[in-house]
Amino acid sequence: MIISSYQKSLWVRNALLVLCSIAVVAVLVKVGLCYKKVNLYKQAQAYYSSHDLIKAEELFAKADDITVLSYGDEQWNSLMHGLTATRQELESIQLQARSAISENQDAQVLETYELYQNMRKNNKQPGEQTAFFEQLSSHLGIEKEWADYYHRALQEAKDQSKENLTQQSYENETFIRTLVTIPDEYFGGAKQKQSELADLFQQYEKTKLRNLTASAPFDEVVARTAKSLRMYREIGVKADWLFTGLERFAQSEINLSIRQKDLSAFISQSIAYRKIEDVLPRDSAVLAAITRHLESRVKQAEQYIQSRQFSKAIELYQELNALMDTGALITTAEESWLVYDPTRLLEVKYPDKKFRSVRSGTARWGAQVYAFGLEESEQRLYFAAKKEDDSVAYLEVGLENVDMKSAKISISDKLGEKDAPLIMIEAAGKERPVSFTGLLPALSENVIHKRFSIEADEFSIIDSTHILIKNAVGKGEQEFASFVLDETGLVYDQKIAHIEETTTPEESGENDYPPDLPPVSQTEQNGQKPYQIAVYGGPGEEYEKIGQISSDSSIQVVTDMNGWYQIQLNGKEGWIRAPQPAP
Amino acid sequence: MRKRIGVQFRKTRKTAHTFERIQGCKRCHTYHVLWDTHCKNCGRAYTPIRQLSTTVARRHVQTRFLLLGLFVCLAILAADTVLQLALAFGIGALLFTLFFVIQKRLGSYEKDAQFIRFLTSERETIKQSLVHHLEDIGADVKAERIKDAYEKTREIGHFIESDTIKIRKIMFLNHYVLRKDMELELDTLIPKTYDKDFMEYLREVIKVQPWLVKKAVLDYVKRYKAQILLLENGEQLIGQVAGAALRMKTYIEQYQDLIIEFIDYLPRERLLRLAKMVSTNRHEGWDRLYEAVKQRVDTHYAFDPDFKGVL
Repeated sequence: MIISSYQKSLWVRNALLVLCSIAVVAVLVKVGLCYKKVNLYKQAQAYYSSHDLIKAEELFAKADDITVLSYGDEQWNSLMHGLTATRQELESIQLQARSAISENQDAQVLETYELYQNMRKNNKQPGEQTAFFEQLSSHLGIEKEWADYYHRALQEAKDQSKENLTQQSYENETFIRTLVTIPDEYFGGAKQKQSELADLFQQYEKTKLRNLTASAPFDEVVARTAKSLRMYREIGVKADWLFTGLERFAQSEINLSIRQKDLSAFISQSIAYRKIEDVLPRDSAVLAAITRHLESRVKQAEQYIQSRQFSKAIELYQELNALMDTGALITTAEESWLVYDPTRLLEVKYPDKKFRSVRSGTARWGAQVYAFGLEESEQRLYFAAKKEDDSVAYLEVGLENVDMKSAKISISDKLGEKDAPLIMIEAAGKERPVSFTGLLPALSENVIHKRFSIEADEFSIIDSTHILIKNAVGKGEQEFASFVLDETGLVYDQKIAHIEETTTPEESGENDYPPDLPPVSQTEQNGQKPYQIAVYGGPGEEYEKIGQISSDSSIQVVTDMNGWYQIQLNGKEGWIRAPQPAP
Repeated sequence: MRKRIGVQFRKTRKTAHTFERIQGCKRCHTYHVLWDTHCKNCGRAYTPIRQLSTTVARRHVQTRFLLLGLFVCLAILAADTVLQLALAFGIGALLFTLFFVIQKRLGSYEKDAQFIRFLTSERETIKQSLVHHLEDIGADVKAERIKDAYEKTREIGHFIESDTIKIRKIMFLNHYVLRKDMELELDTLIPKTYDKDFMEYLREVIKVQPWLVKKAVLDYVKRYKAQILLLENGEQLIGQVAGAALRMKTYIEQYQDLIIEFIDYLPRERLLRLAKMVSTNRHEGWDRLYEAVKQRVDTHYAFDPDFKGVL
């Protein structure tokens, strides 16, 4: 559609008419505002001439709010602007003060009060500004509001202090801050304020501490007093008397715990006291006493280790761990214990298992220490070793065809290498009197290799690879035969001699091993006179002697270790030295 | 020969300028050159194009006043001091006065200038309106409303100079009996080329209004004499045209040859008028014409008392 010039001219004219109308209205408004401004300005000047500065400033501010026109004398305008700024600042302070007073915000009330006082200081110079400030301050009645508030606050704070002490309730202690925020003028000066507040706080806190020590536990007394100390430090009040009182109380309580040898009480008190270190000075006597006592306890633990009372030492370290990091000390103690008693490797790892024929030692198979033993119910051998790199390896191997009741463990001194000898298990066989099993732990592979297993009448090691076997099952039957231990296991080598006559194991008496019974019975059988055997608390003579048994009494061997048998004595565990076989 | 019908044509408006025939519809933005007074589309009364232009010119003036007003208002609004405010008011009032005086003095010239611009800008719309009228004429012809078709063609003919329009008018007019009281046209219907219908129309017009034969008609007849002579009674037609040319002395001087050639086909009363004129103006280069008239009179009207003593 083509718009005709007739219509176009109409639209343009009408659009401009609308714009022009708006512009005319705007012009009329502006003219009206200008007229109003000039009138207000003239009235303000009239009031100024009659020294009514508040009214003059009010009218000037109104005129100044009309920004459509710049009007008037610049110098006078500048002066009036200064008065307007003063009024706005004062009104703002009054507004903030009223809000803070209504919400009982002491800090904010004080802040507004200080702002006002600063303003007052700045308006000390004689002149219009000062006159205006005085007139306006009086007009607003701002000082009276503060005076009313502070007199009321002072009285309320004192009342609250008394009420807290009477009721022995110290939850609400806002009065302390309130009192500090009350300006000096309301106490009659700075010195008077300082003196009055010091007396009031000292009396209040001493009574409070006395009440607390009588009723509350140590940690609560310490925490509450520390809270008060923090508050006093925050509000800038010196409270050395409170610190002295606290130290005296803490010292007496901790000393009592030390005297009573109540380590747990000492530890909990020390923890509670150390928690408030932020409010204590560096030379706190109580902190020094705590440190001293701690050091003495650590020394005691070291003595336990020296006397091989490892469990006691570790227990003590663990208790002290709440106060100091004893992790490294515990590790050292455990290492010492392990070196002293490698069977702990098995005891710690398998606390529920009962091992027998336990052997332990050092510097074999690439281990610092090692221990191994038989678990009868599971028909297995468990092996634990602490490697050179301080890691611990736990290995096990099944002994399915071995008679566990009669099984005896030994470390071969010939078979295998010097640092890696074979573990020999000798037990009653099924087809022959004895079965021999050779095991070799390989820590690098985390496995125990079963090198051989053979039944025979007799088994005699010639050197590291040759074994003489009598009447072996399979090849070598009815022969004295030589076997070679190679990578595949035990291999028949050659016949040495033929067996002329066979003897039963019963006749030879070679299978008469006493795994559960000490050779006491043997001596009995030999017709020797019974004698007394000492029973110790552990597998060693350094352990405490806990009793004696007669060599002819019947005992139950629980397990054996390093030439010691663990036995049951009157329901307790005890250890006796394994009897030496007769030569 | 077609049978002619008697008819009374609508009177056409007499205007000083052709543009005065154009009327516009303010609402539809269309133009009309016929006799209707109200728009067929919206029913609104047509407004003469000059009046439309004047309105547009007036609005332009108003727009300029408003722009000036807006400028002055902005100046007042932007004024920041009392002095600036007073200056804005004062200069604004001065500008308004100046502008008003200038407008008073030059307004009429602006209207004419604006009219030319207006016509130029509206040329396409006017052309479309004329095309619309031509479509109406086509519809009239189909409906055999020949009278309406002629009347519309006659009005449009004021704006369109073309043989098509002329020939259409001639064809429409040849349907009717021409009378002396009709507002007939001849000069405006002369086509650029020879047209047989025009010759037929000329023959009828000469019968009722021979004074319509003017120089353009005489030139046309002279130019296409050969084709005219091929028509039935072509000589008589040229003779009638030559007789019509005897109304003015200048025509006789200019078209002597034509008159001499077709002197035998001049009617008696036209020959008598010619004889009187040549006897009066014999010594002004009319010798050849005198001889031809004398010969014609001597051979055919020697005993006619009216011719006695004329030559």
